[in-house]
Amino acid sequence: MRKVILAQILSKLGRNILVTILPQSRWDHHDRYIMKNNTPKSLTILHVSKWERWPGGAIAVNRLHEALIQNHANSKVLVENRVSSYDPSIVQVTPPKVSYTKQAYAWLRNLRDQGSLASPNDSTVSLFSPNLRPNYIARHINNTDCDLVHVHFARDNFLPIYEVSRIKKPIVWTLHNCWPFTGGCQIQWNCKRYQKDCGKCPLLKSSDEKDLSYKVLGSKKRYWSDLNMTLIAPSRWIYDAAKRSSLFCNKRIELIPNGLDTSLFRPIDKKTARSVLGLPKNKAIILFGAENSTGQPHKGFSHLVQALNSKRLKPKSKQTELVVFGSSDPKEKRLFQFRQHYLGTIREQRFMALLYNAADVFVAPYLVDNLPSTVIESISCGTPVASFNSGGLNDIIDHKKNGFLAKPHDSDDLAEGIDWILDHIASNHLSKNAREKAIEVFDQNIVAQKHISLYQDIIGNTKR
Amino acid sequence: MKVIHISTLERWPPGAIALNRLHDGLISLGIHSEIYAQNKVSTDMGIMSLPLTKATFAHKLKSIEENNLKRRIKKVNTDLGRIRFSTSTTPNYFYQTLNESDADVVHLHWVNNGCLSIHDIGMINKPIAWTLHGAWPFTGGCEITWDCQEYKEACENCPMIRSTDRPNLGHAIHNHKTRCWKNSDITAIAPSKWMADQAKKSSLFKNREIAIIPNGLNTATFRPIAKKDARAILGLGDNEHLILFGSENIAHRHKGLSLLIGALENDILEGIGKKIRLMTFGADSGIKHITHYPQSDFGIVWDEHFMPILYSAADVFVAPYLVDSFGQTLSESLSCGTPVVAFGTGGPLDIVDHQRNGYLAKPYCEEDLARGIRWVLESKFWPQLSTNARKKAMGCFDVKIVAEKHARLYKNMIAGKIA
Repeated sequence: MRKVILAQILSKLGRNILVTILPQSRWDHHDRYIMKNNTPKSLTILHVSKWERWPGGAIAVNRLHEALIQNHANSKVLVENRVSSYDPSIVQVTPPKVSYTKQAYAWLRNLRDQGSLASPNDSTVSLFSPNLRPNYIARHINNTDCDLVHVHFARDNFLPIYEVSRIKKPIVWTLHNCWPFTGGCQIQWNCKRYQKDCGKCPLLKSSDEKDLSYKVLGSKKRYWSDLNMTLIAPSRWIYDAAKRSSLFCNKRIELIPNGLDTSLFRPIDKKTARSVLGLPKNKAIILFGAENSTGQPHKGFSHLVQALNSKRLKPKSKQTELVVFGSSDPKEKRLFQFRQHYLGTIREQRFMALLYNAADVFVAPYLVDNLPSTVIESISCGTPVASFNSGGLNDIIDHKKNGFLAKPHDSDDLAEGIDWILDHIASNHLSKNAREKAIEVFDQNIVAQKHISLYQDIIGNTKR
Repeated sequence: MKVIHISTLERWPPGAIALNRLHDGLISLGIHSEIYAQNKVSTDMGIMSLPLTKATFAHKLKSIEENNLKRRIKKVNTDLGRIRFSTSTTPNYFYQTLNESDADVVHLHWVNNGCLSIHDIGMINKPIAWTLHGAWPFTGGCEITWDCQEYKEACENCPMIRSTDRPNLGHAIHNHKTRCWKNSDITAIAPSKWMADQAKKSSLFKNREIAIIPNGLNTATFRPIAKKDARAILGLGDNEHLILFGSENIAHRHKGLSLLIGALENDILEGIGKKIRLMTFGADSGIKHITHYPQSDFGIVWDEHFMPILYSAADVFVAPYLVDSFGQTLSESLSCGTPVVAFGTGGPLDIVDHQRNGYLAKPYCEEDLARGIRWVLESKFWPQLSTNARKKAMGCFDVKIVAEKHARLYKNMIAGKIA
C-alpha cells in the first residue's frame, strides 16, 4: 500500500517519470509466448522509438518493422504509447523497478534541466529536447533477447543520453532528424555550432558559452564516444551534416533511405480516384500536405500561397483546384483565387494513396526536411512532385525527370515548377519515371534487405 | 445558447465519434458548443482538455481504492466478455468549473474512467442532458445489462460481481447514484427505443424525462460511391458477392462473430449464383479465414473517409451484434446505400426496416441470419433496397436533423428550468 501511494504521488509530481503500479501487462505475456513458439530466426531486432505511427516521421518506423517481418527477421518495436493495440510485436514500455532514491534523483535532475529552459516559448520546447534525465529503460532493453537495438526517436526522455550508453548490445541509430548529433535541437538550420561544442544556442536565445546545449552535447560526447554505434542516414543531406558533426565524425554512417510498401501506394486510374473523392475530372488538381501543413511555418504553406498568387499561375486559377491535407479550414479562406478543399488530418494510408492518385502534381515546399515520406509516397503513386532543392529532397526528385526542383525558397521558381509539371503531365513520362524510381530505390523489401545485411555485418563484427 | 459536452475520450470509440459529429452539427446551427475531453488528441480549437484540479490527499487515497476495486472486478467478470464495469467514485471537482461557466446546458456522454464521478454529476447545478451510449447511467456499474433485471430495483444480486456480500459493490454504486442524483435535473437521450425502454424501467431513470434521438452522421461523407470504382480501388472483382462485417473490435463477444460464422457455414447459402467473399474490418480482425469463403481483411481503418469505399463496395453489410444501443456502423452502411442484415433486437430495430432497406433476422437464429443474407444478395429489387437505405439515412440520421432535435431539446430543458 505504501509503495502504491508513493508511486501515485511520484507520478503526479513528475508527469513523465516512468512509474507503474500495475503488474506486467497481458500483452507482454502474449509476446513471450509468440517468441517461444516461433521457429528461431537468424536475427532479432528491437526498434526503440517514442512513437510507433504518428506524428510525422514515425511512420517510417512502422514501415521498416513490417518490412523486416516480411523478410523473415524477428522484429519488435518498443514504444512509449502503443496505438495499434492489437499487434503483439509492438511492445509498450514496462518500466523496470528501481529504488525510490533513484526515482527521486531522476526527478530532481529533470527539475534542474527544465530550469535551464528559461521562459521557453512553445516552439522551443517542441523543437528542443535535452533528454538528460535517467529513466532506467536500458535495463528493460538489456533484458530482452534481441541481438541488436535500433533506435529511431529517443527524444523527450524516452531514451535518455546516459541510458544509451548502458545498452549492452550493438546499437544502430537512424537519423530521422538532427537531434542525435546536436546539443538538443531537431533541425539545426544555419547554425554550425554542433560541429564543435554547441553553446550560445540560438534556439535557446542564450549568449552563454556553457548553456544547456553545451551540457547536452558534452554529455553525449562523454557517454557515446566508446560505444559500438552505427548510424543510418536516410538522405545525403543528413549524411553530410552528421559527418561534419563533432560527435559522429569518426563513427560509421551508412546511407539507406526509408522504404514504403509500393503495392499499397500504387498508381490507380485517375478518373476512378477522382470520382470516389468527389473531385472534378476536367480540372487540374494541385495537392499539398504535411502534418499540420498550414500551421507550421517550416512546411512552407506561405511559399505555396505566394507561388499560386504569382503571375505564372494566377491565370490558371479557373481550371485548377487545390487540395490540402493535414490541416482543416483556415480562418481566412480567400488567400488566393483557387478553389480549395481542406481535408484535415488523414491517418489512413489507403486513403492517402487515393489522394496522390487524384492529383496532377504534389507540391512539397518544405523549407528543410530530411526525407519526407509524403514525397516518397507521391512518386510511388506516380504523381510528380514540385519542391525546393533543399534538405534530402534531391535524393528523391530528379530534376525534370520525375518532378521539379526549384531554387531554395524562391516561390516564383516554385510556381514555374508547378506550371511546368502541369504542362508535361499529359505525356505520362513523368509518372512513369516517378513510379520506376520508387520501385527501384524506395521499395520496402529492398530497403529491408539493406538493413538486414547491415545488421548481420555489425553482429558479425561484434562477435569477432 | 451554449452547450458543454463532456466525454472521457474524444475520437476513438463509436460513442465519441457520434459526439464529434453532433458537435459539428450544432456549430453549423449556430449554437456555441464546446467539448471537454479527458484525453484530447485533435488540434481542433473547440475541443478542450479537462483541466486538472488540485487533488487532495483524500482524493488520492480514494483513487487508489478505486484501482483496487477495478482489479478485483477484472478477476471475476472474464466469462461475461470484455465489458466494462465502472465504479466512477473518484471525485475530481470538475463540477466547480462547470458551475462557474456560462453554459446553459451540460451534455454528458461516456464519462467513466475518471472523467466525472457520480458525486461530481450530482453537484452540477445546470440542466444535464445525458446520451445513453451504454447502460451505465442507470445500472450499478455495468455497460451492458444482458438478461439481468436487477437494475430495475437496486442491483442487489449482481451477476458480474458474483458476490454474496450484502450490500455488494453493484448495490453500493446504485445506492450512491440514487443519493447523489436526487435533486439533479437530468434528461436522458436514448439513441434507440430499446435503450429508452430499458431506462424507463430502471429505478434511477423512471421518473426522469427520456428523449429518443438517434446518433447522427454526415451524409455527405457517407455517400454511395459507384460500386465498380470502389471495388477497383480495393482490388476486388466485379463478379463476386461481397459480404461486409466489422466493428470497432470484432472479437468482442457482443459483436456476434461466432453467430456470423455459423450463418455463413449454413447450407442455406450454398448454391448461390456468384462466388461469395467476406470482407472484414476492425481491430483483432487478424483472424484470417474464419470461414471457408475467401476473405479480405482491412484491419483497423484509421479514417472515416475510407469507410464509404468499404461500404459501397459491399453487397450486404452483416451486423450480427447481440446487443447495441444504436449501431453506428448500420446507419453508416445505410447512408452509403448498402442494405443491412441484423438481428431484430436493440438498436438495429430502429435503423433497419425489415425487407425495405435490409433484413431483420429472428434474434440469435443463425439460420434466419443466413436466410437474410441470401435474400438480400439474390433480391431482384437490390437497387430499390439501396435507394430506400439512402433515403432512410438522409431522413433520420443526417447530422443536421439530429442536431436540430438536440437544439429543440436543449431549449425545452432551459425553459423547464426557468419555469
